[in-house]
Amino acid sequence: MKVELLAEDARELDELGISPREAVARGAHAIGNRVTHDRLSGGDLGELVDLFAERSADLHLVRFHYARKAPEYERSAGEYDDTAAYVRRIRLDLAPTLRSRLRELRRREAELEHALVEAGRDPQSIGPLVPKGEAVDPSPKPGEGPEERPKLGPLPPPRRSFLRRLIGRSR
Amino acid sequence: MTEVELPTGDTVAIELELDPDVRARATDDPLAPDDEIDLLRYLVYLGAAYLEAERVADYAEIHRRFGAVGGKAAVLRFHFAEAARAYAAEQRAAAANDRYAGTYGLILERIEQEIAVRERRIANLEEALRR
Repeated sequence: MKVELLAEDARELDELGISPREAVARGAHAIGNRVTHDRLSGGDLGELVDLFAERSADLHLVRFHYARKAPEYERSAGEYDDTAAYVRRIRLDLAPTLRSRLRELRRREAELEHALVEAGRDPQSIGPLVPKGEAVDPSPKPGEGPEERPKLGPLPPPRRSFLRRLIGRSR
Repeated sequence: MTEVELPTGDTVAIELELDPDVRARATDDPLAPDDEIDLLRYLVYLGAAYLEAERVADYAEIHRRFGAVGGKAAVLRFHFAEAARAYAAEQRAAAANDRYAGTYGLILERIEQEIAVRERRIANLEEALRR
């Protein structure tokens, strides 16, 4: 079966002068015969070699999976930054600008309607009209624009306890 | 935390066979991966490490390398876990941002449509006033 290795793994195997097949044969020999970290016995060279191989294989396996995932992680971070920047732009720039333009237009529309009424004309006969119930609320919304968050006023001084009030009254 | 140099994700594909006897022995090995492809990959790394240790054949030097590999693995695991956690958080946040942007996009579209209607009406009202 086809097994993917990092190009870096292949380079390291080359440096060691061992082919992947030979490496598999050596590794396979150890499986079932090696001393693992949870079954230590004496502490001789053979045991240390087993532990080193165990840890090194583990490191390489983690490295393989991490290196394969890293581009996806990086792409995700980039996409997240782009979306977050777009949302920030909508919230702080686009939405307040458009609502403000809408307020301005409604003001101007009201002025003109008033002038037409004073001239004895019916402004409602002049369109196009925004269908009833479909007008957007143009007032500034919380979270839109760079407004400061409302702050609470200072707390009142602490009330005297019932006992202190009684004592104060009796004096 | 110390950085560990991570190689690029470029890979090479190699044709390897898994001996059924090795597969059977691997099931009793608590450290061998269950997945066959991962097991073959693990055997490559394991075999290479045995060869490396065999070439050194010096207790102190292997001990030094054992410590170095362990430290490196710990740092790598830490960064991998952090990156995976950040990835999961980004995915959740990006989904929420997408929904937010979609909803807001519809509102902005409606505002733009209303602006266009009102601009046309203002032009008509001004025209009517002039007449």
